[in-house]
Amino acid sequence: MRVTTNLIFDQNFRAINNSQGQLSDIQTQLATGKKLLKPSDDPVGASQVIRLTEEIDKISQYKRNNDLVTNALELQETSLRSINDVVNRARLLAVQSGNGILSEADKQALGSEIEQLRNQVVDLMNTQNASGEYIFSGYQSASQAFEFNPTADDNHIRFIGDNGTNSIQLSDSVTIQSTTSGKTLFEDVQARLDFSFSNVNGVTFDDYSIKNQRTFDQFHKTNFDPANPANNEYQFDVISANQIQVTNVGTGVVVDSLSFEAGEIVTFQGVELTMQANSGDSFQLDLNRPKKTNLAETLHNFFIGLNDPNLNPQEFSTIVDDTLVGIDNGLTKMARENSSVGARLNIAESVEGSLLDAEIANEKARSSIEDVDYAFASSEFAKQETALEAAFASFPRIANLSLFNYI
Amino acid sequence: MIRNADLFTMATSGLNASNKLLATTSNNIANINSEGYVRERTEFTSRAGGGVDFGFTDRVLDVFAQNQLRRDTSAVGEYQAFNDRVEGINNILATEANSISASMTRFFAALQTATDDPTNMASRDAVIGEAKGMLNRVNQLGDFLRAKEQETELQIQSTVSTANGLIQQIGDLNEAIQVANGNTNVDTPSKLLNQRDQAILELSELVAIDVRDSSNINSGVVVNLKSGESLVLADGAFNVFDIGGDPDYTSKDLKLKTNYTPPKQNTTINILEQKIGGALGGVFKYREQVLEPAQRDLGKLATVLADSLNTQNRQGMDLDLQLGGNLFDVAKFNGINYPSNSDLSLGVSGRIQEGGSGEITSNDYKITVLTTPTGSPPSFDVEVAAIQTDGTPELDNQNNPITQVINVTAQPGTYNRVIGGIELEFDDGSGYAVGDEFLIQPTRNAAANLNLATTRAEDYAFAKPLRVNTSIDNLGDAELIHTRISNSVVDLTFANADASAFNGNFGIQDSSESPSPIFGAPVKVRFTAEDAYEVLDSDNQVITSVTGANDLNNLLAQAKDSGVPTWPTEFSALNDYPGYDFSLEGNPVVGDEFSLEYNNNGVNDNRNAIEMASMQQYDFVNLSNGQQSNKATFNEAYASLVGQVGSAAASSQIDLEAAKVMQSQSSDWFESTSGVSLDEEAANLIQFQQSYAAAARILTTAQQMFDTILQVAR
Repeated sequence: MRVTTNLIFDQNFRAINNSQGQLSDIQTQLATGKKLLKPSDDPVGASQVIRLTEEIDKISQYKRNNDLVTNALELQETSLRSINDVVNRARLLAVQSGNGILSEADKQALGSEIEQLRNQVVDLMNTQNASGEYIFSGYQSASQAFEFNPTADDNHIRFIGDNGTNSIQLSDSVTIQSTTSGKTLFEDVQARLDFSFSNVNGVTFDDYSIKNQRTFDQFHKTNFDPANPANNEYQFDVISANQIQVTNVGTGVVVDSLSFEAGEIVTFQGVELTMQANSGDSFQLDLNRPKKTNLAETLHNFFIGLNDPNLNPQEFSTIVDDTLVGIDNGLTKMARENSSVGARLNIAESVEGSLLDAEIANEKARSSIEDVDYAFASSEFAKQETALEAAFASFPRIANLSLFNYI
Repeated sequence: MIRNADLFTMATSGLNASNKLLATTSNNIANINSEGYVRERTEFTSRAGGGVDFGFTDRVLDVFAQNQLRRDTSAVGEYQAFNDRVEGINNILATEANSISASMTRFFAALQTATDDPTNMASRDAVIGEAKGMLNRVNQLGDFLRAKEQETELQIQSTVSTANGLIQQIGDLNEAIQVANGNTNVDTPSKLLNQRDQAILELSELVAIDVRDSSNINSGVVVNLKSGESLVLADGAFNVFDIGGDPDYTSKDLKLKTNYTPPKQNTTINILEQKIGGALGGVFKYREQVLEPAQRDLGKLATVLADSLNTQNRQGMDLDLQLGGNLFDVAKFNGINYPSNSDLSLGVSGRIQEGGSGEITSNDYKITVLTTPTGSPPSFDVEVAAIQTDGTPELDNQNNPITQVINVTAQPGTYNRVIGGIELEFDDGSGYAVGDEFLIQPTRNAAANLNLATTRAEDYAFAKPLRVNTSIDNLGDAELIHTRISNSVVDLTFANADASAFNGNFGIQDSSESPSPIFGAPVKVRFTAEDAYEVLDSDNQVITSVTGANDLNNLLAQAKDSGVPTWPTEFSALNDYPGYDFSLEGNPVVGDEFSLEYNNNGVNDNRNAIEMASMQQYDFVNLSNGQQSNKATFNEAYASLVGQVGSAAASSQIDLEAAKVMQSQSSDWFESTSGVSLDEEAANLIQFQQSYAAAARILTTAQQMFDTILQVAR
């Protein structure tokens, strides 16, 4: 090939230019620590980096959510534990008061302690979080969950929030409940199941009570019919001097036949009756519709009972029974919720663990796409540098070679 | 051998010849740095009677090398122009500071934080701040692309005028060379030829051309576009490029205009811009393949993001306990009239249908009037066709063009829903004629024109407007698992078929407000058996009863479908009434009640916020224009935009490198034939100097011989 003067210069210039360009690219990579400087360096990688960065940012947000949910749940756990302690003390006092040897003064002393405990429970049911929200009010967290109105006829401690519960997202797929409504937690507590008499005809009761609550509860649960009230009515007919026949009013089915002696105990499904009756007398035993009473209300009713000197022992012991069953049901409900809170805390913890794993994996993936391999880049830099130096060194020598220098 | 010339004549011709050779060599040396200079060589033949002839100086040129160089220059010009411009977008998309992706992630993170504590004003303010930040990024990128678009149009204009200048120059030189050739038949007019070659080379950088020598006119060249249209004719006539904007005057297209002398009529020829090659072709290719799609993809992302968030917010209740409104304003867009339309004052404009983001694509749409308007207000059929940025029809997955024929009403304020999630508004009047055409570009400027609809942090609807209360007397264990709000449009006149059961006054419609003359909107469900329930209104009137329910999902929808008596016709006449529903889980017992109420004071509710925040991970944005099912998350859509521009840039870089290598090879080839070598010229200089001295010696020899003769004669 014929080599012309311009060719020599052009080619050298091109070589130096190329070399400088590559050197500057590698230098930028070394300086920024990234090999992916613009999307065209690795188009697929660039869009992966966008996705991975979003993923990583999302994970750090989820971790923050996790902290918040943990705090919220721990606050709930704490208030539930406190309520538990208070109510257990109340239960102790209730058992104590049921032994029947308490004087009025003793009862009043107990009453004032129960009053304190009730106030504590109401306070705890209106627990507020750090930002002043009532945590058991449902969505209406700006107002109290429970309102105490001592002058009301019934339902002195009334739930005024709603059913609402909030959730918090802990990962793309896991959302857990962060709040619990006081309605499900405290309000939706079954009161003691009970019965009442009606259409009493010639029978006088000496004593009556549910001696075996469990048997009665079982009977109540299996047989209570919310749609047809007549099915809940049981007609007791004294058919002879020592025989009572029990018939279901709604269905007309003879349920039971009991032997009877005046003044002696007759047992029907956990209920013990002592009465005076003659053949042909009758009465109805009606299963009461189940009621719901919150813990504070139960304590309040107990407090009223303790302070009421007009109650006969029969009535007082009913109140004590109501209190004990109400407290037990309330504690069961809370225990269930507490274990659910614990389970959610466990979920939060395990989700956090897997988020951390995912974070590391994502960081690693992103790094392998966009971060520079220093060893590789530095050796590449040295290589390009050598090439450029060689071009610099050789160029003047070629350029200076001219026949004109010799003529 | 007969020599009738004497020594003097031969010496003189030799001196002249050497002189001329020295002149050529000197000229070569002098022009070593002249652009476009082609090495010259003078060749002599011996004269018949003795001595040397006048000689003929010609350029040393390899036509094949020259043509190869032109082709490679065109390729480099095209890829260089394309690559330079793509790099501009490529670089801006990459910078973290400008990344929409990062700002979207921050927005959703702020939303998550606010979700965790919905009453916290500080975290709500942070959401507003991040929304502004996100909007700024979207606007900035939109503005940037718009500026790039304008820059491209200017670029096209200036490139075209340069090309036209060159075309004219080549034509003129063609003419001049013919004249010069006629004047002298000794040397080639190399200066003119060099100039013309240089002009052709420069033109080849701008457009891809074919150059060939004219068969009938001596040393004239014909310059054609690669696609065959001629630019310069051998006789000096030429055609120039003309820029049009039909119909979109902001988007230039290219024509070829003849330059005949009257009375011959001039005509214009349309040319395919992307195929013309060179820098001009590169710019057009960049505009059609990268810039315009990127602009529309970004617009699509902005529109879908705004509309989806708007839709979610409208389904919620804000901190003022009002039904949520829009968070972003998606700008309306004006249609462009085709110049051939019958009445250019009649136009069409459009907007994105609220909640229509699922259908939005990055297509433009061409509206063609099919029938003459009739009636009052005038209505007529139009064809709506989805087209790509270069005007070709968009095809669906069956390879059929996506079109729709629909009857529209031309009345301001009446929006006609068409395909693609858009609504069209026609100007008042019956003046539309069959064949009128309009171009609408829903997403072209959407990113630059997106705005915040609210800057009040309270307006973020984190709560749902409804809550379901379980009656405390319920004996069953059924509990609420999900409340769904699908519609919260308030219109107590029910003129709008989208109206919902919300009364706009913190409540749900009672019997006096609802569309039904008898019933209010359904607000209560009462179970009459484990699998049967009644739906009641706020006056406890039974609207309908459902028996034999398989599950407890969407109780109101079940009542609508299978309730007895049938669902009130006034309710089912509306598109989505009441606009809410709920699902239970567990076993209800006879008499159990679940009642719906407006979520008054429900400030701590974060149900809607959770759904809003989780939108980050769901697929909303159509990736393909032809098929609606292929969707991606907001971030993925942005990543795909970055990936597309990046891969266009990467492949154009590779193309450019390859073209440069080709060009350097052909330029080496050309240079090695036609370039000046100083060493060679130095040798020539010595050689011709010697031949000059030798010729001079002939003269002295002749002189001495003459003297000798004279002395002999003396």
